[in-house]
Amino acid sequence: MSTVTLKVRLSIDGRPLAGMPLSLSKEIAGPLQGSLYNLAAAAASADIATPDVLSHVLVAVLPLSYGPVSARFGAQATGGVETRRRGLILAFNVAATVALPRVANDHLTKVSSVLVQGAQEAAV
Amino acid sequence: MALVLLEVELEVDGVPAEGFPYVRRLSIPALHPFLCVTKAGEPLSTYKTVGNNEVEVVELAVLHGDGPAFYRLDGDTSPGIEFGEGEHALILCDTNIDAGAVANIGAPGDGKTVKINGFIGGQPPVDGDCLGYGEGGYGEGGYGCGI
Repeated sequence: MSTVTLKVRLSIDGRPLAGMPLSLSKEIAGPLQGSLYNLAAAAASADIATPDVLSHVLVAVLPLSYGPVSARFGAQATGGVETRRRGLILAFNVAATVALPRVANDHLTKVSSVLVQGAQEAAV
Repeated sequence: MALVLLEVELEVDGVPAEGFPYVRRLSIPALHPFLCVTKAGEPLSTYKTVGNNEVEVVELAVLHGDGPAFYRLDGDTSPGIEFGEGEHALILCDTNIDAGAVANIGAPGDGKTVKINGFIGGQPPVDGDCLGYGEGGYGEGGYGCGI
């Protein structure tokens, strides 16, 4: 069993915002698991499921090159969160049944790389 | 225009995860705090719209809740991202969420009251207020929560 800790600091013009830093932690069953997905240019714009983070309570999606990249969670069939290069989508304490994200490359001509990481919840 | 600094640390047993710490500086035209409460006993299908009166294109969001909730993003019509018991967080940085409904937050529907607060930033509506952030922090019922 391991402990995953998330700490967030948000400041504006050098001043910390109310409620910051935000700190959360959770017991997880094992190490953080991550996979790098190289997504073809978006001619087809198909979602690629990321099974390595299925049933995980923590999901982090990090586009590493080019973009924009979209991510859909759970049963989401339309839209999706679009990030630019070096953006971040991070969901902490997701209900495991809908955590499976799917990612798609929205760049018309270039391959985009996305790092998707997840952690399984520790058994109670 | 405000210069926003976002720092995210993600560690497992004290060891930083790959890609972390994540540090970004963004110029955000509008940044709005909000507080949203999903009330006990509301049907599961009750969603509250957050932020779409103030931000038309979401580029940054830091959302923190103290219990189960559902989030719909970017015009999602499914139940959305479900968060479990205990505290949760959703961090979106350098995003381009341009649907009219920025973030719909759903009631857990299990008799609990859940408080969700945080910040949403990005491009304001064309005729909207450009800099809504103030020192006062959150205000219950405000910022498009619709309560």
